[in-house]
Amino acid sequence: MGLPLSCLTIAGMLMVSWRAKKKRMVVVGLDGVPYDFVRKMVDQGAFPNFGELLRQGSMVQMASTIPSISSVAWASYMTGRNPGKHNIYGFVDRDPKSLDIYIPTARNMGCETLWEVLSHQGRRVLVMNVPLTYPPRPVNGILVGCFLCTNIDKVAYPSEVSIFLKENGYWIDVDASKAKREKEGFLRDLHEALKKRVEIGLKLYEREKWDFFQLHIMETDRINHFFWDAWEDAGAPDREAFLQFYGEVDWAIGEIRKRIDADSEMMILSDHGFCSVKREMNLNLWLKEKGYLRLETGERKELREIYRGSAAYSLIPGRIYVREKQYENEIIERLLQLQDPESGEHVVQKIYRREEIYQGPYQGNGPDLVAVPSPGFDLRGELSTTQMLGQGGLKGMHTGNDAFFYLRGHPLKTRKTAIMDIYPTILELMELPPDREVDGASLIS
Amino acid sequence: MERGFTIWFTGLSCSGKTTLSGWVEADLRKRGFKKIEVLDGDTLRTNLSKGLGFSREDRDTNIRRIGFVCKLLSRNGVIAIAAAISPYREVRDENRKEIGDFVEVYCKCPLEVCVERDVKGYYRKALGGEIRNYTGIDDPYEEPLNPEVIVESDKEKPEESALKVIQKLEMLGYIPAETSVYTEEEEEKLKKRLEGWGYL
Repeated sequence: MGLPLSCLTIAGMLMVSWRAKKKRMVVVGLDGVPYDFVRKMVDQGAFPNFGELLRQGSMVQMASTIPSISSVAWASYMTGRNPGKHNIYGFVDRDPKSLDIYIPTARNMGCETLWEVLSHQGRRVLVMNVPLTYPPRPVNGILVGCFLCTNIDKVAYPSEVSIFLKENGYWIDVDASKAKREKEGFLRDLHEALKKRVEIGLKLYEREKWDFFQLHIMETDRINHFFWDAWEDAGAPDREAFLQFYGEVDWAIGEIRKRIDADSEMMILSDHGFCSVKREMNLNLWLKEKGYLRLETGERKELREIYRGSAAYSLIPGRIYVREKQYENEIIERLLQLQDPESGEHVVQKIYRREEIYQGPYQGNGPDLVAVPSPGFDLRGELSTTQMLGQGGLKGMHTGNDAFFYLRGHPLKTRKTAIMDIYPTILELMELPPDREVDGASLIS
Repeated sequence: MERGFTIWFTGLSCSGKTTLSGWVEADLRKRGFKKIEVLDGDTLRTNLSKGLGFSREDRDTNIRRIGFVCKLLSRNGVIAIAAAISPYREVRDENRKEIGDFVEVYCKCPLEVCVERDVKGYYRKALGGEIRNYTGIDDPYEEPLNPEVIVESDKEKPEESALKVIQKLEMLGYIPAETSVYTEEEEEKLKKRLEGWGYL
């Protein structure tokens, strides 16, 4: 004999109510937008939508990863783990034996990502443009990969989504080289790329079923690299264009905010801060000058062409690989003493040893030392240049301690916040079992 | 000298350890690695561990012996591939510590699927009471807590599982990465893009 109808109805209602209670979440990523900048823009009334959200939630300053590079920081965001566990140390890496350079991608990610974990829990995800999501790994839902993709036909999972993206004029990234030769054209591209990304993201938001939605805006980092001086200098000629662009970023936040129901969770975050570049400092040329790095005779441009007996070499930004361990302490001491010849400022404010900042199965793949520059000193590593200290074309550079995290409707713990804390926070908000391997901790107060 | 390391397959009987170790060995040979040695638990019980029974103590001795051979091979530049039920976590972790360069692959497979397969007919005997202390029936199997790779032979094809193992070896730096995500043209384009943003 079956259950009476009334029991089935109650069970059905409970099921519906359980399903309805299942938390949905919206995350907006604003790449490279500093905490301090958001505060000032809100205070100046230039971020009306963000300002409205601040009244409904909490925002804290957040530490990035070391180094403060988008690929590393977002990898820590999407795993809750330090690089020693996720295996991403920069936008470039090298084979330790051949010294061939390669570009780490989602294929090098050594553990599951947030959206893979959500997928396994039966949650449907819709993720667009988060750094280090190319090639797109399968999820329960849709994943549009990041700017590490150069072929739109390959950017999405499932691949049919690429057709939709193309039909709607999706931009993977803007062309950086245009910023130097055609500033207005570059700005137009930024506006267009942002507009299309938000429009297409919202189309998917409305037409797809999802439990977790994340839209990543990369254009903020792009404008900051070439126009950050327009923020720090109120009299800069590009000030208006810069603020106008950020007005559109706030418009995008408003468009997303309009669509979110009151029961859904919402967070906005960046991955690192920004400051103006005072000077570029080429660590490989410094290592060469001090005798730790030797180049074979003739012009050398590739890392694999360095003299194999070299004691150390560097990859940007500030990653140092010490092959002859007896020189490690000496390199640290001398680098900490390095001063700008004009201002006398110390170029490097801190140097971390690998074991201090990386723990996990991929620790051995990480650099032996990571130099954190003083604000404004951009640590480079090109072998093709001859100038150790100089001025390049970029106006802005990343900083490590000035990212932000905003959460609607919840007070946040008052403690130092790091980007690795976001993944456990999301798991808690979505009422999913905690992950025991994380290095971060939930921020829910 | 090539860098030696140990790949340790653990899991219930009939969970796919021997099959997968064969696939991984073949993939590594295709990539040009010549010094590879497969140590299969069943084979070793007829020589290296002949005479040992299935008590906890004897099982641990068996796994320690296999681990010891793997250690000698690994430190001499050989890729040692061990495939043994190795049911106890403690002795597996002891081998991990001893060997150092150790990649644990957990062949996860539901007991009922293993019983269904029963290639050697031991499950039938164990269930019928003819043999005792059989892992999964009347002897425990302790799952690894942090294996480098988990493969599921009831859900994946052996070539898919083998690829997971190979990719993990690449990521851990034991073998060079062979497959590029990009075509030459795509890579050139991407390098220019990254240079433009100051990432290269």
